[in-house]
Order: sequence, then C-alpha cells, then structure tokens
Amino acid sequence: MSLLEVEGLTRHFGGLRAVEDVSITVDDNDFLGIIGPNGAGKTTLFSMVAGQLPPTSGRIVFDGQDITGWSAHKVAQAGLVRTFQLMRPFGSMTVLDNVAIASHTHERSRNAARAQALEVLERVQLADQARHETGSLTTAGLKRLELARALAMRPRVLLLDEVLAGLVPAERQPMIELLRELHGDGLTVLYVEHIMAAVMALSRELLVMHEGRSLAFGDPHEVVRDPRVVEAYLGEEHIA
Amino acid sequence: MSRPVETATEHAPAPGQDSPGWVRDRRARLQYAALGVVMVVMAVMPYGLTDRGESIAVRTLIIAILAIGWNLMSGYGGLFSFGHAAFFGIGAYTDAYLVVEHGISPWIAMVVGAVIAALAGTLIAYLCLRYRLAGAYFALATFAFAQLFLLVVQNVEALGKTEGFNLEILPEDSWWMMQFESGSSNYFWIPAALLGLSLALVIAFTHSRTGQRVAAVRDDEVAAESLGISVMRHRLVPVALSCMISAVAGAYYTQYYFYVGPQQGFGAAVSVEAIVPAVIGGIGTVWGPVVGALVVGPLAELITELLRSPPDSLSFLQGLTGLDVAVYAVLLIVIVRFMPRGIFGTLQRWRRR
Amino acid sequence: MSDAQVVEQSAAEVDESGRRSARNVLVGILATGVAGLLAVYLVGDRDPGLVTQAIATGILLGGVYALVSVGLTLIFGVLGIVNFAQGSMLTLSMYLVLSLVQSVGMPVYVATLLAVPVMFGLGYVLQLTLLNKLTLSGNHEGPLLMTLGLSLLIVNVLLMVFSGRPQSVGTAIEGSLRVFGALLSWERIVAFLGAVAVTIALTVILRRTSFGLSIRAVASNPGGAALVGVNVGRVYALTFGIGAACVAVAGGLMAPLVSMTPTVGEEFTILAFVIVVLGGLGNVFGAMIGGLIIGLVQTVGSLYLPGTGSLILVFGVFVLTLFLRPQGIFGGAR
Repeated sequence: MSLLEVEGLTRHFGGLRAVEDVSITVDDNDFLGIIGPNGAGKTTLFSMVAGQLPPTSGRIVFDGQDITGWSAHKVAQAGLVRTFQLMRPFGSMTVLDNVAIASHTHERSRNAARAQALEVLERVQLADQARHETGSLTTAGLKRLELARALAMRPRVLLLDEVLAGLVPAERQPMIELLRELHGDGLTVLYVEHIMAAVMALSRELLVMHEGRSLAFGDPHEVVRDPRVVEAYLGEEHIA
Repeated sequence: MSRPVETATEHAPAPGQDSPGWVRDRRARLQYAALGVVMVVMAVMPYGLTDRGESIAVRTLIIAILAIGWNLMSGYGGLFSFGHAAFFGIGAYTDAYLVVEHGISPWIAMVVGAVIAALAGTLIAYLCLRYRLAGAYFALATFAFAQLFLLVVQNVEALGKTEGFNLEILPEDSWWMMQFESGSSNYFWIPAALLGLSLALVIAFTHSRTGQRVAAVRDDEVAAESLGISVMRHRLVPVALSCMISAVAGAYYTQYYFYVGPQQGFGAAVSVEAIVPAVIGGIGTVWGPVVGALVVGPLAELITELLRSPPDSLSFLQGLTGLDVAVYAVLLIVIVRFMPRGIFGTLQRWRRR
Repeated sequence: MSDAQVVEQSAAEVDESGRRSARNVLVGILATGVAGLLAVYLVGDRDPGLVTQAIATGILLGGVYALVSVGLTLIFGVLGIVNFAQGSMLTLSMYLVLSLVQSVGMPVYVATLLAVPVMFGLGYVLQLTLLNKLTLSGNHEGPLLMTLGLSLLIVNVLLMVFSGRPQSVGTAIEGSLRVFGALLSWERIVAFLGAVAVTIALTVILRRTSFGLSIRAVASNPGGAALVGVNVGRVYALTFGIGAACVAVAGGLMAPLVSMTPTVGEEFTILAFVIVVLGGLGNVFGAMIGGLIIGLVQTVGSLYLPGTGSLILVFGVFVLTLFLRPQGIFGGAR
C-alpha cells in the first residue's frame, strides 16, 4: 500500500478547470517533482492535498485513511505537511519560537518543544539565528525557517511549494544539498518547482502538469524528452 | 511504513549533553518573580494608605483586572472588543441579582457571572469569526451588545430597571458574604488577590502550549493551520478567559460599592476603561494594563470628584455628563496617534534592537 | 489558452457566479420581505393605514440611511478603515445644523448646505493629522481604536455642550403629501430625494471623473497608484472628507424628523454598520439596498416594538446576517 494516493482529483472554479482528474501514487521515501507552466494547477493541487481547498471530486488517501475534505489542521496533524511559496513567519516570535510552535505538535512542555526546535534549526543550519526576530532574516533564512517548521512537525510526507523561489543562484545550491540530505534521512517529498536544475537533481520521479491535467509521469530524464512535454513548454513560449 | 523524520539523530549534540541554558524559557520565571514582588507590595500597602488612598487604590485594582481581561482577548488574542462593559456588566449584575434576590454568596455569584460572561463572549465571537473581517465585526458586535444589555436592564423589572440593585449592608463581618466593616483592609486585599490570580493566569497562559498557539493564530491564521493548529478553538479560548476575568472585576465592583446600575455595569465609560489602560501600557503585553490602570484609576477618581464637587473656578463642571468618557477618549486618541505600542511595547522594541 | 486568458476567464466566471449568488439572495430577501409585509397586513393585527404609513416612512428613511452607509462603505473600500465615528459624525452634523438654526435663525436646509463643507473639512483634517500615519503604514488596529476614540469624543463633547435633553430644529417645511393612503410630510420626501440625489452624484463622480478614478485606483492598489504619481495620503484625506460630507447631508436632512440627543450617535453607528454588513462591506449598491431594508425593518418593526425596541430587531438582522451570510448580499465569497 502506498503512503499517499491521489485518485482523480479535480477542482473547478465556476467554469475554470484548475485541476482535472489528476492521480498520483507516492511511496515511502519517494521524491516526486511536479512541474508545469504557470496556471497548470500545481499549487491548486497542493492546496487540495494539504486540506486548504476542498476538491470538486476525487479522493485523497493517506496512509490508508481517506482524508479527502479534511481541514488543513487535521491533515497537518496526520503527518502531511506543506510549506508556502510566500513565506509566512509568525512575526511576533523569535525564530526558535516559530519552530517550537510546530514542535508542540509532539511535545507538550515549552522547554521540550524549544529544545526540539533548536535541534531542527541545527539541521537546517539556522541555529545561530534562533534568538533573532523573524524580521531580521534574509529570504534564504526565511525559506529555511519554513522548512524547519515543517520538519519540526515530523511529517510523513512533506509538500514543498517552490521552496527555491526568491533565492539567488548562490543560495540555491545549499538548499538543494539540504533537501538531498533530508531525503537521504528517509523523508518523503512532493515538490513543486520551476527551477529545472533542482528538479532534475532531486526528483526520483517527475510529474508534468499542463492546463490542470497530468501530461506525463515517470523518470525525470525520460519525461523531459517526451515530445508532448516539449511541445507544452515550447508551445507556451510561442504564445508568449 | 515510513518512519518519522529523525532530524535529530545524526546531527544533534551527543546524548547526555544539554541544550544551551537559554532554551529554557526564563521569561516566565522573571514574570512570576515580578508578580511575587507586586503581591508583597500590595500586601503591605493598606498600612500606608489613608481611607481616600485606599478607595483610589481599589478603583485602580478593579480597572486593572478589567483591563487585563480586555488585553487577553484583544491585545494577545487579537480580537478587539469595543464593548467589554458587556462582560463586566454581566459579572456585576449576576452578583447583584444573586446576592440581593437570593442571598447567595458573592463568591459563588462571581463564578456564575464569569461562566455566563464566557458563554456570551464565546457565542458572539463564534458568530463573527466565520468571515474574514472578523475583527471589525467583533468590535461592532461587542459595542452593540453592550448597548443592548444596557437597554435590557433599563427596561426589565427583575433586573432593577433604571434604579439598579442596592446591596444590603450586613451588621457583622462575613467572609461568606464578602462584607466587612467600613474601611477594612480586606476590601483592598481581595481585589489585590484577584489581580494576582488574573496576572498569574495570564502569565501561565501566554507561556503555555495553548497560549503560544493563540499567538501563532493571531500572527498568521493560515500558517498556524498548516502547522496543525485549530484556528477556531484558539481564537475562542482567549475570549472565554477574558470574559471571565472581566466579569470577576464586575462582580467585585458591585460588592465594593454596594450598588450597581445600568450605567455602572454596562456604560460606555466601562468599555473605555477596559481599553485605555492596555493602550497606555502596551497592548498585548502582560504588564501593560497594570501600568495603564495606575494612570486611569486615579484619573477616574479625580474625574468623579470633579463632577461631584468641583472647585469654584471650575464650577461649570458640576454634574457634567460625558466628561469622564470624553477625557478617556482624548487619552485614547493621543496615545494611539503618538505612542501606539504603549509604554511597555515601546520599551520592548528598544530592547530588541 | 494563455495564462492571461485563463486568469481573465476564471475571474469573469467567478464574478458571474458571485453576481448570480447575490441576485439570488436579493430575490430571496425581496420575496421574504413582500411575504412578511403581506403577513403584517393580513394577520398582523395592525391598522392597514398605519402599516402603509410605516412602509412609506421606512422607504424614505431608508434612503437617508443609505447615504450614511454609502459614506461608510466608501471609507472602508478606499482606506480599509471601518469608521466607527460615522454615526457620531452624523450626530455632530445634526447639532451643527441645530446651532445655526437656533443662533442665527437660519433655515434648516441652508444650514445643511453650510454644514457640508464644514464636515468635509473636518473629515479631511482628521484623516490627514490623526489617521494617515496609521493607514499609510498598513496598521489595522490603530485606525479602529482611533475612530472609536473619535466617536466617543464627539458624542461626549456634544453631551457636555448640549446636555442629554432632547432638542429639535423645528419644522422646515409645512404640509404633507398623500400617497397610497399614507401621509408623507414634505420633510421626509425632501430628505429622501436629497439623499438619493447625493448618492447618485457620488456614484457619478466616482465613475466619471478623473478624481473618482484616482480614488478607485487607490482603493484597489495603493502601491501602484503611488507609483503612477497619485498622492495617496491626500486621496485618503479627501475620501474621508467625502464620507463626512455624506453624513453632513444626511444629518441636515434628518434633523427636522428626529428628536436629537447626543447618544443617538451611538445608535446610528450600529445602524450604519449593520446596513453596510448586510449590503456587503465595500459595495456601494449594497449599502443602498441595505439602507432601504433596515429603514423598513425599523419602521414596520416599531409597529410592534415601539421606540428602542425596533433597534433590537435591527440587531436581529445583524445576527442573522452573521449567521446565514456573513459576507452580506453583495459581498464576495468567504
């Protein structure tokens, strides 16, 4: 049995078919990259899986449980955790306390939660900023904070939404390295990204979305050579 | 079966090695220590106060408790209440009604009032929270409900109509009925103890898991939800606690002044007295409302005195309705304009720089 | 389909379904309203003449309420501020008119004309000096507290100066008109027509003039508007001034109809707010419809619950709105 099964997931907004009949299977320790042109429905798909948006139709089965339509906080508690493309730190708290909020999912006491949070911060190399306000973090730091918060949830599956967006090339490589290490530790990841270098470096499997549908799926190197995929991307360039 | 990510194992400090000392939240201990000092000071204060001083002090204490309640809901929880008199008044009137009509002990009446106030506040908050403009809706709803309750008690026979309730003065001291000889220091120590309890509750709450989650929800609902936090529940908890604290202040008001009427329980002055101290001291801070109450309490007494028997040069102030709220309003406007973070808030900012 | 087309189509489709839903709700309310009124006529145990009177009065009153709420909704739409002081500014306008009438014997409507620029100026200055610092920095709680402070200050200063004694400007126009068996005083009719005229004028200004354009630009994108050279702070001040001018007109027009006390301001704050919530915050048309509905609820309601009792009914509408459709009739999706 797979860890995460998405069956025929669909989302309509009025007449707009944002996501149309997408199915995915994710097994333990997979690293699934999801790419596609803007408007392809990637973030909508994420939002449905993470519980922020109810699907119009389809099913989501996580670890044997049907979680379709579950609210976002229940989904997160179950172990399916997402990060946000636009960083959302808790502005009134220090970096450490931001992560401690997530640690509290598993720790009741403040001290234990904060200790756990510090360990997670060390893992993402943000520990030296632990006592700082979030306002003093750079974009790269904020991205790591998002990641740290998600990791502190001890997720079974991690949904990363364009975690490299906003980083300059010099900042990307360390982040890619970090993600590779985490994957090596046993993490299961679904990953929406535009930056092909990262996608190719990290993904074990690749899903290409186009106009709400899944266009191609499989080994990354084969998928990018698929003529339909090439046409979808090249086609977009022609119109633009 | 996948195992949860053990982020700690390979890269954590060696087992047995403690995390740095600052990881343990020392701030809570400091605040409790400060509270301890305050309690000691208050314990001995009556011995140095005149009768007049004591009545100002009690007024200050009542306002402080009321403001602490407001601050928990509005400052810490982020849901602004513009009609906190609604909850203060529930406490005051519940106490009056149960004591006068049924002879029940004010201690019990206090608890009953707190529960009723909490239920009312939670219900109002729940209705308002279902749309994104919860903040403005809740502010208006509380404002309107305070008005509504005022109208209701003014028109209902059983609730005293415009005359309100007068407490019977008992011939003997009674802890059960919370009455002592006039000028007894117990009248100071009881609200002081209530203040201490309220502050302890607030300190404990803000440093608890639930309290941190409330702050997270206040800062960013969506992010909090994505970290497994139930938004509705963590918005309602501070509301309930806040209403309880402010209702207790109301109940003691009735006991101390032996009287409560529509304006005393549900008037606009009460709602403003709930807000201004926290604004002066620092919205969302633990000590802000206390510091602010030290300003508003004596000010309130001064205004009452001015209205009752003004000096000859200011004789036009005699019985001038509206002066108290007008003064509070000016204070509110000036502080929000020039020092929106209040005293403590501004200090906290400097410290963090 | 290109991205831009996709986005446009989706926006249009969402708009369309939103409009359909608003239309449905409006039809539903109209149907309920008509049914309710019929019930009042047939089984309501009240003299039909009185009912007709109440309905006519309610509609006329509703028109004036609409003007108050349009100002409030405009301020919210552009500045993002919920102006708690709207009701008290209305009361202030009324007392301004009263002072002019009592001190120099000015006719009511002339005094109203004078009150408009005064209130406009006041609103402008208030926004510029007190609120702009907070609004421009995106603070939401500050303005809320500030307008509460203003509201309380205005009402209580009025209390101190004029005392709580009910006062009246006296009659502005003698006589009344008989419409469908209801007796409508000319003052009421003038109030209604005046309010409608100003509302229409405002809508025209917003849509047709370049000034209105800059207001709408700031409303939808303050940053962008600033980039193209719009003085956002000044637009804010002007908008607040317009909101104040609206209540100046409404206040003057209503003065002959009501017995004035300063605390009436607080009642109006609640009324204006409920209307705007009912109509959908930020929607001018919604504010107008909401005004009419609440006007009717108040007058027909006072057939059964006289005086402040009808306020409880208005309250009920508020709670019902929060319960059933918190975004209001014309508000967007939740």
